[in-house]
Amino acid sequence: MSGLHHMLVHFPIVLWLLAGSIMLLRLVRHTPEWLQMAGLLALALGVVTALAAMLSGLFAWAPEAVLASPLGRNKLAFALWTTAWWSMLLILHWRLSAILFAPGHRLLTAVLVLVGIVLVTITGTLGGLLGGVSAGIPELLRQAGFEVYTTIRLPWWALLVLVASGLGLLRLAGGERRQA
Amino acid sequence: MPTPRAITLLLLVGLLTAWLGQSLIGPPRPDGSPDRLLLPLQVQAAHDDERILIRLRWPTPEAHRYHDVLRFDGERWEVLGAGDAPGLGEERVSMMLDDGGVPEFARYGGYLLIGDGTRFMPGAADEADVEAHPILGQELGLSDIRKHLPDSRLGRWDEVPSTTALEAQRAAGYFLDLWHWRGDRGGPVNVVDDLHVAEHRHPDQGRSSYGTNWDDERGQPRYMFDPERAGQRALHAGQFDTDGMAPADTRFLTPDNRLDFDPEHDWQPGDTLPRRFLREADGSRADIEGHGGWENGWREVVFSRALDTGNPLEDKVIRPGGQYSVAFAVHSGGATGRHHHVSLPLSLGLDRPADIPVQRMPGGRPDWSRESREVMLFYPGQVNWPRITGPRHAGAEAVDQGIPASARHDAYQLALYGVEAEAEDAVVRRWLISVGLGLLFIVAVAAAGLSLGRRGP
Repeated sequence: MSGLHHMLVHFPIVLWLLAGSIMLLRLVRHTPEWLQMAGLLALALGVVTALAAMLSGLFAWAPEAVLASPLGRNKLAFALWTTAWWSMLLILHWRLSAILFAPGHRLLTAVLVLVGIVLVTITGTLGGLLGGVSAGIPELLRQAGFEVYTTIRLPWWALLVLVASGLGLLRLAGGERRQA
Repeated sequence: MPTPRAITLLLLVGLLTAWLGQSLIGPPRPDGSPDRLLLPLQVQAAHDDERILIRLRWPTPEAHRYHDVLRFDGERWEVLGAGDAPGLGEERVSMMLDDGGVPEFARYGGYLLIGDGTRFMPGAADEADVEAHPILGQELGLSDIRKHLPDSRLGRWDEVPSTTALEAQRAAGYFLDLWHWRGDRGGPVNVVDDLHVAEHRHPDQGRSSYGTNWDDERGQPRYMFDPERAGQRALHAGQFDTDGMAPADTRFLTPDNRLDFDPEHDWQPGDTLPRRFLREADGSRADIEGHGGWENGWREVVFSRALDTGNPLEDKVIRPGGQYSVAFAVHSGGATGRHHHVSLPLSLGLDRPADIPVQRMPGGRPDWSRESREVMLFYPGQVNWPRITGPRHAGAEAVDQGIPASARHDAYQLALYGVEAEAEDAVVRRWLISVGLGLLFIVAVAAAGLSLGRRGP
C-alpha cells in the first residue's frame, strides 16, 4: 500500500502547482478562458487525488506508527493543512471566480496561492523524508526556523494570536454578511 | 480598511505568528535531559600485537566530580548523590565491543540492549518481581533489569530461557564486552571496570577497584582519612565551592591513607567523606587500565587492554587484522543512569580500513598526534528495543530487514526523537491542539474569503 501512496501523492503536488501557477499568471496578465478552466480543473483534481492519497496513506502505515514519530506527526499535520488550504482555494475559485482576480483582491489571492505552494512543498518534503529521500529542503526549513524532526506545535501565546486572527476573520465575514 | 486587505493582514498575522511560535518552542526538555543534546567524542586507537589502546576525549568543565559523598549535618551522616547537590555525579565513559557474536549490535548499537522491563524506562520491572523470578532473582541474584541482549529473553523481561541455554549462548559468543571508566570509582587508580552484557549487565569475575564507604548496620562511614597521612580526617565544607560539592582539593580514600571510622571524633557540620573507597582490583574485572587526565576543558581517558585477556566468556578476543563493532557512551555534567550521551555503532579495524582504524604502534608507543575520529554522541531519551521493533516504529520493517540505524537516522535526529519519546504525551497533546486550531483557522479564512462574493468586485 505504501507504493500506491507514493504514486498517488505526486498527482496533487503537480496539479496544485499547475493550478497555482495559472492563478498567479492570471493575476499579472490576461489569460484565455480555457486556461482559467484548466486551472480550476487542476485545482479540483488536485483535491480529489489528495484525498485519495491521504486515504492510501492511512492504509500504508499504522496510525500508531505515524503518531509515534515527530516526522510522521508533521507529515500528517501538513497533509491535513495543505489539503484543507487547497480545498479552500477550490471553493473560493469556484464561488468567486473573477472577484479573486479583480483589482483590490489580487494581493489576497497571491498570498493565498503562495501559502498553498509553500504548504505543498513542505508536505512533499516531509513525505520524501519519510521515504528516506531528502532534496535539501529540510536544511532550508531549519534555517527558516522549522525543524522537521521536532513535532510542530505552538506555544500558548501563538495559539491565542491564531485564535484571535481567526475570530477577526470571522468577524469580517459576518460584517460583509450584514452589509449584504 | 478595505475587506480584502484586512483579510490579508489577519491571514498573515495568524500564519507568521504560528511560524514564529513553532520556531521558538524548540524540542521538549524532559526532566533530567541534558542541556546539550549532542556531545563530541574524539577517538583514536593503536595496538602492538599484544595490547590495544583506545584514546577518548570529550569536553567537560571540571577536573573531577565525586560520584557521591557522605556529609555530617551536625547530628548524623547523610548520603548525597547526583542531584542532591550541584557538582556530584562522576564523569564516565564506556565502550561496548563485539566481534560479530551479536550481529545486530553492528547495526543498532546500544538500543539493542534496552529491552522490556529495563530500569529507568517506561514499564520497568518491579524489584520484588525480579527478586522472586526463578532464574533472574533466585539463580542469578538480580533485583532489577539492566542492559540485556534480545535473545536472552523469549518475549517479555520475565520470559527467560533456561540457564543451560543462556550458558550456551555465552559460549557461542552471544555477549558484549563492556569497558567502563568511572571517574570517581576506579578512575583515580587507573582501573577501568571490566563488565559484559548477556542476559544482564554483569561484572567480570574478580574484585572491583572500589567499595562503598558506608556501614549500613551502624549508619555511619566505614573509613575516614588518616590525619597523619592525609592531613585531616575529613574534607571540610570550605574545601568545596560555595553552592555545591565541587572539590577544590580532591582526595580519595585509599588503603594507604585511611583508618577505621571514629564515631567519637568531634565531627563538625559539613565534614565530608567520599562515599567510595579505592582498593586494589583483581581477576578478570581488572583486565583494563585507564590512564588520562583533564586539561583545558577536555577529559582524556586511554583504555589499555591485552588483545586476549584469557577470559573468553567475559572478554572479546581482539586479533590483528580483525574488525569489530564498538559503541560509546559518556556520562558528563552529573548525568547518571540513562541520562547519558551515546553513539551509534562504529567499526574498529586493526590494520585495516574501518570507522576507527587501529594503527600499529611504532616502537610500542602510540602516535596520538595524527587526526582523531570525532564521534557525535547524542542523548537517546527513552527509546527502547521493543519500541524500535514494534508497531509504533514506522521503520520496524526496515529493522527486520537488517537495515542499519545509520542508514535512516543521524545523531541529531535521534536526539530529537529521544526527547520527544520521553515527553510524548505532552507533545502529542499540544500537536493535536495546534493541528485542530490550524484547520479552524483555514475555515475562518475560507469564510472571510467567501464573504467577498457578497460584497462584489
